[in-house]
Amino acid sequence: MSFVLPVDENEVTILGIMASMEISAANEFSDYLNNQFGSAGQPDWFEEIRNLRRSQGAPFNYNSAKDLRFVLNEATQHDSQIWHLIPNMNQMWVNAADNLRKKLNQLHHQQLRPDLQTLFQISSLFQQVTEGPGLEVASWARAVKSRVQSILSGTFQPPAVPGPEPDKPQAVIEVEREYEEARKEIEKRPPWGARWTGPKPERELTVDRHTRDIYDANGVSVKHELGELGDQVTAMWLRYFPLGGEVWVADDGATMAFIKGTPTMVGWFGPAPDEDKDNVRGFVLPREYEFTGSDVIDLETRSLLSKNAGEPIADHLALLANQIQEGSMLNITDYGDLFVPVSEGEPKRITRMHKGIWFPGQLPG
Amino acid sequence: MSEKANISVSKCEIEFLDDPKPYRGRPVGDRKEGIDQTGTLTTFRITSSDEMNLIAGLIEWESAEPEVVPIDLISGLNKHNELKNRGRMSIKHSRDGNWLVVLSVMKYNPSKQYFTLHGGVLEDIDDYLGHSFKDFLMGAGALRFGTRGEIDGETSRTESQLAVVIKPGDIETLAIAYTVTRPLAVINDYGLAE
Repeated sequence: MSFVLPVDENEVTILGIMASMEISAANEFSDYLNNQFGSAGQPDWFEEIRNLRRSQGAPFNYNSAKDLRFVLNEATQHDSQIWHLIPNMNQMWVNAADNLRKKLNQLHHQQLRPDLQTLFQISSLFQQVTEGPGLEVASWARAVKSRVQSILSGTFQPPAVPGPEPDKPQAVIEVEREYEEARKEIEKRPPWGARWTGPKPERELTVDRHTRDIYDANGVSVKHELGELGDQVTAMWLRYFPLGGEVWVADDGATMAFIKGTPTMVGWFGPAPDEDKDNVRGFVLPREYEFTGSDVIDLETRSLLSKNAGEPIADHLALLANQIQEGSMLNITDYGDLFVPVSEGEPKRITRMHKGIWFPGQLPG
Repeated sequence: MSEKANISVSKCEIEFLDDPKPYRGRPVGDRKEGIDQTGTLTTFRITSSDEMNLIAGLIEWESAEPEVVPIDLISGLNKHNELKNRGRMSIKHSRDGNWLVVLSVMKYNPSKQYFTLHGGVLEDIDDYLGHSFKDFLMGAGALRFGTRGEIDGETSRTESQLAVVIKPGDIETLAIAYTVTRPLAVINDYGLAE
């Protein structure tokens, strides 16, 4: 497999690099461990570990040693047979491996936006976990990080003639296809405050910022159609569309308005369709947060949500205190879905935030 | 149809229409005391990503200063109505015989709750335009850009006004200056607190 570097912000290329890096790391780790266990007279080491874990009643859903999630998971177990085989193993490696597993899980659930920031983040984790055993992926990850920095700083000049398209393993093609489906789904009904890319809906209404009422083309109030949701819907629209004016409502209630010249999703005329579910929608923002027990801290800036949110946040913090442990890590998607990242399976949404009750400038709108 | 090429200005597109044609009316700057007079009108259309279709034009009066005025708002959102009756751009003669345009900007006025003209702040304009307004105008053919004190030797209380000096009748530079300081400012809700 060729070691591809990004030349621009092309999402498919970035996604392909992340997925290929995972496959390369898995293959190299597998070969490395085969050699190590083979020298120790344990050629059936994978089956032995599988039997051990199953005898302990632990879930073991891996079919092959070439599943990177297996290596990362097994190496971080306190009774791991792999632990002592990986040079320079320490708590930092364990943390990086744990973080990488969560990121890869998000990648496989189409929740990782393939942008340069995310590529940098995931390359750093690959570098940390593959440098110790001297895998080639570590050099690749280092080169990717360096290239990303050059692109972001504007110092990288892409080649005049693009290089040949690299051969892609089937697994990478599958990741790209699933991402494309997820992207189309998101484009159809984007997050609040994000660009509306579909056709302009037919039903035209007007929201008035002074009366906080909603009118049809004849100037007749239609807010009553929303029942008890009326004030909540108006507040949400005006949160993203403070000047008010014309909005267009689709058949399913999705509502767009032109904000600063850009067609933008401002909310729903009625309840959002998945409001009563706990699935996580959208792409995860490339930031990490921690719940302190009474507040949410942005681990990059060390700022507290209670000190930065533009609107009252006490109810949401109380809800978090009821649902998650102090010290829990948190991620959020561009839809505002807040969740505890997991290394396997689907994460569950704890609550949905919006730009008024989150760190300014992080969510769309 | 004019042979001048269209100009893209951020979320707007300028299309130059007919060649100059005779126009009869009253200069907006003279509206209270003035009388009808003749002039020549050169029009351009500004369309935007949020469905505005506005015709504006340069009127060169027989006996009054030239001005750029909105002629007809063909379609648009409610907020584009702000451009129908406000936002005239006056033009003065600079000391070297060229035209001096004061770059006032349509800005949302929270107390009046509509857009009014305010003195231009270059950093703000660059911000909503997305690049350098000065470079844009100079690249289009403007002669000088800066405060009136800097570019025209003005020493009165208006010396700090942001302005541009152009060749007389330079419709392309005028259309860009008008589009950036009027329609684009309104489209971007300039002055509206988030």
